[in-house]
Amino acid sequence: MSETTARLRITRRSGKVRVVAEPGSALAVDGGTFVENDDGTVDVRAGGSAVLEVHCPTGSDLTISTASGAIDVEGDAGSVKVTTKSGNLSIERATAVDARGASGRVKVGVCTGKCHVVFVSSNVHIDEAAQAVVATVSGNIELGSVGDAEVKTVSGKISIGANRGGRLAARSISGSVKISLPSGSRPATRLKAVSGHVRNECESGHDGEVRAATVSGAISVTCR
Amino acid sequence: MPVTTLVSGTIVFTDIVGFTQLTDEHGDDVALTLLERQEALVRRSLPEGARVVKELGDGLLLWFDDARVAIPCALSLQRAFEHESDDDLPMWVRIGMHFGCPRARGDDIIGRDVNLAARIMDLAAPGEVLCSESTASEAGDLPGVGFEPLGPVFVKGIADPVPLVRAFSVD
Repeated sequence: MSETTARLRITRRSGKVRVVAEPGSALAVDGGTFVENDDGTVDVRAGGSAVLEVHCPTGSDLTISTASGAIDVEGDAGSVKVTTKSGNLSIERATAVDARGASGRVKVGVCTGKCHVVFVSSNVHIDEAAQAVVATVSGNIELGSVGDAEVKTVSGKISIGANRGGRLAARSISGSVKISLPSGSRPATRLKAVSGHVRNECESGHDGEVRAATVSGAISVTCR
Repeated sequence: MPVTTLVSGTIVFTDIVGFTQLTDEHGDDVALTLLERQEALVRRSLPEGARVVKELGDGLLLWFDDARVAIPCALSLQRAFEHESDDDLPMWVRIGMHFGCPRARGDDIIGRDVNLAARIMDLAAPGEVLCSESTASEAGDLPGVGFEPLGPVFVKGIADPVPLVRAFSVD
């Protein structure tokens, strides 16, 4: 296998999957087998070991499918797509993320592009993303530093830290919404809590757009 | 054995996200309003060759003879739901679909492919349309519609993972 980036499809019904994307790494699989396809993709299938460990070059695109078990992606990956039912998901760094599942914690370190996460009851934490699109039913959503964000939850709490005057949209039914903008920001805002409390400490202006709506939660927007 | 016939077409599930919470917070009357809005929008939007098979609590089971019709219709429905949604009463609907050959039993449809369509819906975000790869293949190129492969998904009761695709509108 060459040291250029790879496109990997990793499939495992249950058990841990660990992927390490590192500079100069050739593709290596421990705990499973791999097959190179004519279209350039590589199918990785698990054997019987507790951990399926895959080493691949930096920037490799990953499609990971499991029913249960933890998924750890370490190093600098390319696009990462994950479908799972349960199990914690951790992605250190990727150019884009699409992750879907039911339960388990989700943690993304840095996503330089769009980070799309759809989980039912998981808490979702994204340290840094150019764009975050997140939906949960009951899981809390915490975005550390994002450019743009579009977030929906039924009853989870939303916390968004913006790193610039981007477009931020947060909607919940009963969860609270906290949005923190850089100091001195003057965003255009549209905030509505049907029966909850709204607090906006920012002056109005044109530094991006903040839209937040809840049915019964509270909304707080700060610029600090 | 009950009388059934094999039919070929696209099975579509819709589901209102947060319905239980809204019902809990606002009462049954509001919940009923939401359901009626959803059903009215769907019935208005369904073209020839499509029908509501049955209501499922806060969702609907739909049938389309043609996948080429089902996908644009589902995307159009999402736009209509978004338009209908307001801050007081959000209408967040997720849609999943699968092209297959279920068994028709009277007006109802049953079988593995129906179950699969429901599981696909479970993975959709509010406002999204997800479908099996076989649905996208059956539909082929559609004007104004794009497809993004999301990878295979394990589904309860089905041995092999099923390739999943997100359908989206292209301006």
